[in-house]
Amino acid sequence: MTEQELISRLQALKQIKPTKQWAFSVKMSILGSDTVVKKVSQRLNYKEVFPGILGLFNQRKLAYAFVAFLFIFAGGFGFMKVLPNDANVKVSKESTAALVAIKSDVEIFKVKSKTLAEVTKTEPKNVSLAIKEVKSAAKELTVAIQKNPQLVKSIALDINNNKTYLDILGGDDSIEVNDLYKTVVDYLIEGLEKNRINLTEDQKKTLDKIEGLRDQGKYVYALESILLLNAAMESKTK
Amino acid sequence: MDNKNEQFSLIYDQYIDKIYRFVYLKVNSQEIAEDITSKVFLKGWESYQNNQNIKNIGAFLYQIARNNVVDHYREKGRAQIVSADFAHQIVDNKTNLHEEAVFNADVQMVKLAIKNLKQDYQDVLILHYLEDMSTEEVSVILNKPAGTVRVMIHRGLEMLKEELIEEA
Repeated sequence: MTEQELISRLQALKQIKPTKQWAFSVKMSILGSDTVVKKVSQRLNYKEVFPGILGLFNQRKLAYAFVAFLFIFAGGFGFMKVLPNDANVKVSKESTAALVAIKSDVEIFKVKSKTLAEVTKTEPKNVSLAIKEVKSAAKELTVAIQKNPQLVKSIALDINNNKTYLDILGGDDSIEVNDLYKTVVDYLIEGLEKNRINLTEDQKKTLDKIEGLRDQGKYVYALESILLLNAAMESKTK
Repeated sequence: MDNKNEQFSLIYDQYIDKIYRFVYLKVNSQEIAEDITSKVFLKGWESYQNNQNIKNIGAFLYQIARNNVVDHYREKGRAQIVSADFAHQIVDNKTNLHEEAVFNADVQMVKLAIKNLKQDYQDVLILHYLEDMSTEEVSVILNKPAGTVRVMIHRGLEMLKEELIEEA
């Protein structure tokens, strides 16, 4: 083996790179939440950036994994074309920037939610601050969605999967997060309603039940049900 | 603060792939490389914010990375002696099936060969041949004279060649 051959083999290692999703999530966690990082100790598990890929041990999680596949590999706009609603949204540079911005807001919300969950266990004296950060992030994300409602489908799964970190919230502390869920659910239901004519009878009944959950203020259950409905609809179009 | 945020954002974009690759080749585990790399940039950001007089941010990040890798192996060495609960960390040192699928056999061989070299030789080869740094730039990071670095590059290549021949 000549020296040149050896160097060539060595330089083949340049293909080693981190995944874009991981790099993005680390950047957001460091630059998006530096105030929290200074005050609490945390260790982020970066494998949870896309928690939609769950274990496939029951029907519901299989559906989540399928939907997560659509979000991740089809991309935000490709996914919007796959779903039967708003199928002809035109991709523009402004839309791409809006998608990146809203995903950034989602990542910040997720980071602050995880921090709240960890602080609850490890540093109870900092819980109030962590709750304040979550509420602020939820409020910003709600505003972002209201500005670009067509992007809500691209982030719905992330928002749904984030709920496990927010069990501690209740009463007045949960207002902003409830508003966020309500906003997401309202826009998703609106999209499904526009497409009602194309739904099967069973799907229409499910949509009615989802609207019932929404009207009762059970936004988390409504969102979960919408994701399952969309997954079921997609599996039947294949 | 916003200006520093933007500046570090650019620094992050410039170095994330490099630091990750540097760490990965030394620990041979995606999970551990991600963990250490994130700590490197977190520490880098904290220092950057506190107005520390960092003349060469790239060199600074690589130095943090080297130190964190050393700490990792030091902890791992203690963990192996202390408790069987940490047995899973030993497994991290082996190439897992996913990484085998991603990289072809030749790349795998070179990865393993590099990892078998002493840390200083790993560093000079990675920084000079993969990150295209001059011997002067490498000498700043490793805090060694440039002449020493030139010799180490030559010896490092020889050792790498021997490792590859052994593996083959």
